[in-house]
Amino acid sequence: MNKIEEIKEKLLLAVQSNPPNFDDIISLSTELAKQDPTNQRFYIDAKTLIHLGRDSIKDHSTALLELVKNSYDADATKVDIEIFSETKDMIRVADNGFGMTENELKNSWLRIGYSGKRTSTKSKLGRRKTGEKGIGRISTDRLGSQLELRTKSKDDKLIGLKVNWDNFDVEGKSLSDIRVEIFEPKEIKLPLHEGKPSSTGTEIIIEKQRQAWTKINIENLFQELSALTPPFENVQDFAISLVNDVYPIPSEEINSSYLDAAEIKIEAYYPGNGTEIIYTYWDKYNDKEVIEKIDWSNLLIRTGIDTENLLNNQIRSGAATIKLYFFLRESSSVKDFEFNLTKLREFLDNNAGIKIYRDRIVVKPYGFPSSQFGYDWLGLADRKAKDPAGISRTANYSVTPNQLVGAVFITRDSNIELADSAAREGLVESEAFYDLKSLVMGTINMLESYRTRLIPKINEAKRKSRSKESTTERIIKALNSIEKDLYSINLEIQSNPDIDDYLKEKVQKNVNDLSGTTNKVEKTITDLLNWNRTLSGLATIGISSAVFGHETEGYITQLKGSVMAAKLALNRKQPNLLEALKEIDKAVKSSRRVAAWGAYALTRVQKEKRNKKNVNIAKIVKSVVNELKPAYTAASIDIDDKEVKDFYTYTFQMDIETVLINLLTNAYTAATLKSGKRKIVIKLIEEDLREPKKLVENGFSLIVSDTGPGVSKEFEHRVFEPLFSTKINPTQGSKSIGTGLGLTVVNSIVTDLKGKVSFDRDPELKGARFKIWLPKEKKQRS
Amino acid sequence: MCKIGIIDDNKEQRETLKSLIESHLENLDSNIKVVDIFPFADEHIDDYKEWIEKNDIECLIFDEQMHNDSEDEKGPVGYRGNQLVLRIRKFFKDMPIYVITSHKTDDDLQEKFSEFEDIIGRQEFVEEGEKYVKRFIRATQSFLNENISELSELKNLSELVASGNNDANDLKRLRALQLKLNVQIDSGLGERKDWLDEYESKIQFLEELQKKIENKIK
Repeated sequence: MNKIEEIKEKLLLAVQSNPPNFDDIISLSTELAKQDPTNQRFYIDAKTLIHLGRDSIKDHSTALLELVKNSYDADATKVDIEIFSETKDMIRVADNGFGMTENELKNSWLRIGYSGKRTSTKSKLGRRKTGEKGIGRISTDRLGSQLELRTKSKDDKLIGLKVNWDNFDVEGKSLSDIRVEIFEPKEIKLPLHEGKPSSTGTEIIIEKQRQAWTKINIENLFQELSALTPPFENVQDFAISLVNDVYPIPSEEINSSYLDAAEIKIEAYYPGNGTEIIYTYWDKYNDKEVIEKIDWSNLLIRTGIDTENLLNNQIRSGAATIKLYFFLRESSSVKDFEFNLTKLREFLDNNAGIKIYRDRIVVKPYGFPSSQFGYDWLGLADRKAKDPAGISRTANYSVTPNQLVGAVFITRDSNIELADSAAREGLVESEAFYDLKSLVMGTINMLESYRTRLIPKINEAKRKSRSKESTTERIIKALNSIEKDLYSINLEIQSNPDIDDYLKEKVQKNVNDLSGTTNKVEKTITDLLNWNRTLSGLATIGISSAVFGHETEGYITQLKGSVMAAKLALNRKQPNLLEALKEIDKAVKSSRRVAAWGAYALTRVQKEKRNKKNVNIAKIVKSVVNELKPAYTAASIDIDDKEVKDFYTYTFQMDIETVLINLLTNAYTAATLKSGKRKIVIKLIEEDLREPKKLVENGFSLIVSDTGPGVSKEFEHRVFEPLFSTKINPTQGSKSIGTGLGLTVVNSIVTDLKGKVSFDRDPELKGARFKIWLPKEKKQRS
Repeated sequence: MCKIGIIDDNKEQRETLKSLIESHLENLDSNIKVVDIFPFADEHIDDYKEWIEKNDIECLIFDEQMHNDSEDEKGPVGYRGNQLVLRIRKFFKDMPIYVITSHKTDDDLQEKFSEFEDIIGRQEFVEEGEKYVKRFIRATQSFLNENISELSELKNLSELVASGNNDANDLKRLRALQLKLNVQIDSGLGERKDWLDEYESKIQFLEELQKKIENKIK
């Protein structure tokens, strides 16, 4: 019997057995085909699959990403990913896509190299399918050796298969020798769809993982997943949730409102033909969009790119849209937003870089912070390092990659020249890619020159923001943030087994030393603030002395005069006893007034007033008014404090006194400028601060109005300016000498206490009305 | 009987000053009296003339800072000593006026130095009151004397001019005295002569007219 007959007989037996011996049928058929004297066929070794999957995929996060892309192509709107490395050994990826029928599973999924994406490039939802090589499924081998897939389509029953990838990793076996078990699962766990588990979808469970996930792996994966679909579109039709037991990350989805915090946005649009690129700019200082058109060759000249190699002034990459968001990593950026600077920085750390999106799916590694070469694929950091000129040197100013969040949108259909590289990461570095890169660089250049044009606006905004937050507050915040970072860096170092103990000790010591320094600096700043408080108090005594000093001098003279008058009255030829007694009485009264002024000056800077504590503002106001009243009465000024209502807050008594005394001193000077009825009204009312886009803040207002001439229009913008005073050159109207410090001190204290100061004309008294709003504070429980 | 008048808004201070001056006057055997007053309201500032004349005041003492206090629902006023002196000088060119103040170096006050007999620091006055009061007495007496002699000359010259027996020098001297003593005379002497001349020329015109009419009738 010849070889062919022998095989045919065995094959017949295998076919006729019940159930048929499928393994034998395949191997005997293959063997039989080899007997073909005219044609031979390739055989695939089982190990080929290992090379295609496990060996050609860079890392496990790329492998996982391939599965998520498959879900996207299956029109899923939700993908659940679970990674358990520490508590159990399992990776689970489940989507609510259209699932597969048994037929599709057998004829498509199990057919290596088959891709429905080549036959139909758009999904039912209109998504441009992301893969087309038909090997994404093998990537599961990179993740773990045991694969179980369950799938449910609309038109078929629940079906599943199990693959043990290790079976392929044996010498001498043909691919068809390896069994893939088909089974009918009892259940499938799919993401929720409109509150209920989805009726269709696919669930993949991988066990016996090849590589444990680390904290950094999870962080990178999170970033990659976050960037999988661009955060630039308003439509959120593809959500991914990631649960893991390695490094729990709050499952926070990319919040596109972070993009609103950008200082400048720029959008470049190249329609795919012609040489014109349309630029649209938006910045946070101006309301209007600016649109500009620029020719490709001009753009290249501006960018400094050698245009000789370019072909006919054509952009070979095809149509593209580039969106760049420029961020300042400073507190002024988050003003008026719900998130704080730390959150914005986190967002930038995760999303900075210029990514390429093809059909709305990210193309790795461009713009990924975790990628060594991909993150700064445009070489922005190098460029900045060569010329670190700041914005003030307009000609050479350049941005840094961590200030930019950007996206380059291309499509497979209109950017045919931009092909995937074979390693499933990146695009082939063709001329088309070179042009695309130039287009992006040109756009960055346009952004930079736009920003230099904004310098006056930027400087103005800086000046404004500086006054909002005191320098000391910024320093303390920065120090606290450094200390926090140091603490976590040290923790990482101390728990890293690869680092030498000696180094660990050294780091620990340095961290301890630095932490001590931070505390000392903070204490010094606090002491300085306290010192500043005392100085403001002392300055206020000086200021009020300049105004009320004459009053006291008058009392002293009166005292002397009365004593002398009494003496003379008694020494008259006919002593006048009654006159003498009257004068002695006046002398005593005057001496009391002199003593009261001394007490007033001495108590201004008492130590206990410099401590923060719960105080009744009304009590402070009334006490100050009581102390100053004689001076006001002497100038016929009536002080009305009837509308001073009790208000308790946690603050520095000295600050409140200093503010009030300065306002009262100014009111005194103003009131004495006019004859007739003189009055000062003090009000203390509970009042909330309501500002657009901000939470309502509880607090109180201290209002001081007078019957003086009011703040003249020409001085309105200068009243808080240090050393500015209308009283520096006393005129006939005003006899008091101003230091130009009173309102500066008021403004500085109010800013320090996070309050507001304003002034206008009092509608009743017709003079100036100063209003101080301060927030209510509560003592923090330590 | 001549008097020294004190104008000050501060009642205590004013009365103490009065007491001090009175004590010194008594010790110096002077019969000059002292009267004091809270400043007149801004709109009645010219009432000082009447007050001075009514009280036979020959010497004034102000405070510089008289714009602060109020008293019996009056005040505070809007003027200071250095402003008041100009108003008083309108009526009383040579009256001795002193300022006693704690603000002796005040620029506005020093600017009006020539308007006052002296600017005296309050403290100096308390300490060396007698010295100053002696000066007040002399100034008061000499103003009074001068005033009496000038008033008598004014009377004589007025009679001379009215009778028409004056010469040009008499008329000049009368005018000067009227001005100095601030005598209110409606249109002045020169104008009266002009009026008479005009009157006479009109009579002459009428006489000529009468002659013409009479010739026509003839």
